[in-house]
Amino acid sequence: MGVIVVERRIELTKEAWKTCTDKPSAKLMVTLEEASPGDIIVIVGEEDFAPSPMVMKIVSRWSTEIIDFNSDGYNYVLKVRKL
Amino acid sequence: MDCRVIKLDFPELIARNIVYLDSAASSLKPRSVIEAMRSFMESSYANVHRGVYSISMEASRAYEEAHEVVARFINAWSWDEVVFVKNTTEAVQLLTLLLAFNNIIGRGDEIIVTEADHHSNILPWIRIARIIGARVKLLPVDGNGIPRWELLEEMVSKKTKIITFSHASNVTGYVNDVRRIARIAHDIGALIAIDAAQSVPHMKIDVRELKVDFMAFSGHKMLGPTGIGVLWGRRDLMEKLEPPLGGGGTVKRVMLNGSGVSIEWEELPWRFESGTPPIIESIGLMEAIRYLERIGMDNVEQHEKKLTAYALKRLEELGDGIKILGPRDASIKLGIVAFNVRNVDPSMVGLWLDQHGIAVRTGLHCAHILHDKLGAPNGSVRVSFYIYNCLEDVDKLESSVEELLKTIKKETRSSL
Repeated sequence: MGVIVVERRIELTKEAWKTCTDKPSAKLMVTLEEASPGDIIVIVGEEDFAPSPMVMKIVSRWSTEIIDFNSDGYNYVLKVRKL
Repeated sequence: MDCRVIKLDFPELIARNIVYLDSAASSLKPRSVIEAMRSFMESSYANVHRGVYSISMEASRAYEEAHEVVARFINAWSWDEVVFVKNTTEAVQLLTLLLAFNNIIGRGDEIIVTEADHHSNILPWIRIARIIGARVKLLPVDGNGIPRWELLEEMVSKKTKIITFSHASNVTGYVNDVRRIARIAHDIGALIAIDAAQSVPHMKIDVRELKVDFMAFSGHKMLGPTGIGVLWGRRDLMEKLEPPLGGGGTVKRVMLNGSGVSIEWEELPWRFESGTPPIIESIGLMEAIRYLERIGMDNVEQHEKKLTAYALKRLEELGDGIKILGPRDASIKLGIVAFNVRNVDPSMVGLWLDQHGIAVRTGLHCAHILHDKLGAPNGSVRVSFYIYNCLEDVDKLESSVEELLKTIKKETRSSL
C-alpha cells in the first residue's frame, strides 16, 4: 500500500482577501499548524501582497522543507512539505 | 511610573514573553483584577438585588460600589448615571434605542456622525435611522483621517438632534476637541454623545468638563474583564427616559390594570440594566479602575505619548518602505500608530511580527470608511500602547519591521 499524501492549498493573493475577517495570513498560519508530517502545502502568492522571501521565512518557523518554487516575478507557487 | 515594574503585574506578559501592542483591541489584565474576580466568585457571589440573605446583600453592595467607582473615575454627578452593559457597542445600541423609543429622535431628524468613527458608532445610528425615518449625515475627514469639524456648522440644522463621534480614533489615535463640538451641539439644542472606548482607558476623563450628554466605553480595554461596558448619561436626561429593554430588575411593580398591565419602572440605573447584570465583571472593572488610579491617569497618558512619539520617529527612520497613516504629531494623539509596509498585505505583516514575538492588530479595525479615506482600502497594521509597554518594545517592533524591509529588498534586487 502506498502512502497517502495530503495536499493543502493556500492563496496569498489580493483576490483571496474578501472581508475584514477573511485573512489569508490566518489561513496560512492555521494550515501550517494543522498539517501533519508529510503533508504538502501549496502556496499560491503575489509578490506585491505576500513577497515570497517573507513567506519562505515565515514558513521556515515551522518544521518544513521547500520542495519547489516557481515565480515570474509577480506571481509564485511555493511548495513545502511539513516535516 | 516604571513600565518594567508594571509588566510584572501582568501574568500573561510573563507567561508568554511577548511584546503586546494590541491594547486598543483589548488590554491585558493585571493580577489584582484576576484575583478580585476569583475571590468574589469564591466567597461573595450571589445574584444582586434579589435576595434578603447576607451574601446577596453583600454582592448587591459590591455591585453598587462598582457604579460609584466608575462614576468617580469619570467625574459623573451621580453614581446612578452609570449603566452597566456588555461593551461600548451595546452601550451605543442602547443609546440609539433609548432616544428613538422616547421620541427624542424621530422621522425627519438628523444624526451627525463622522467618517472617522468605528463601526460601533456608525452602524447602530444608521440602523435606527432607517427604522424611524431619520437621516445620518457623515462629517468628512481630511487626508489624515481627522474629522473636518470646520464643516460642522454648515451641516447642522434645526433637524439635528444629536452629534456623536469617537473621542479618540481607534485607527489614528487622534483626539477630538469634545468641548468645542459640545458647544456647537448645545447651541442648536442638539445632544452630544461620545464613543470613549479609546480615550477612557488612556487619559483623564471628566464628563462635566467635556460637557457631553452621553458617553460609552468598555471595561476590557482598560484592564478589566470582557462582558462589561458603560453607558453614562446625564441624570436630568436619563431620569426622563423609559427603558427600551424591559425585563427582570427594570421594574418596581407590574400589575393588572383592567384589561391591560400597568408598569412602574425602577429608579436609575436599574431600569436600564435588564436581566441579571455583569456582576462578577463589575468587580473586575472596579479593581481595574483602582489599579489605574494608583498609577494616575495623567501619568498613563504621558507615558503613552512618549511611546507614541518614539514609535513614530523610529518607523519614520525606516524610510519610504513604511507609510504611516494619520497625524504624526504625538501631542494630538493617544497611543496608537497605524502604518503599512509598501506592497505587503497588513495581515502578512502581522503574521511576520507574530513570528518575532510581537502582537499587533491588522486589517480594517472596524473602520472601513476611514481606511478608504486614508488610501488604505486593504487595512493597516496598528500598534497600540498601554502602561505595560516600554521603549524597548518599540525598538523590537522597529527592528522586526526593518528585518522585513531588508528581506523584501533582497527579493527585489534578486528578481531584477
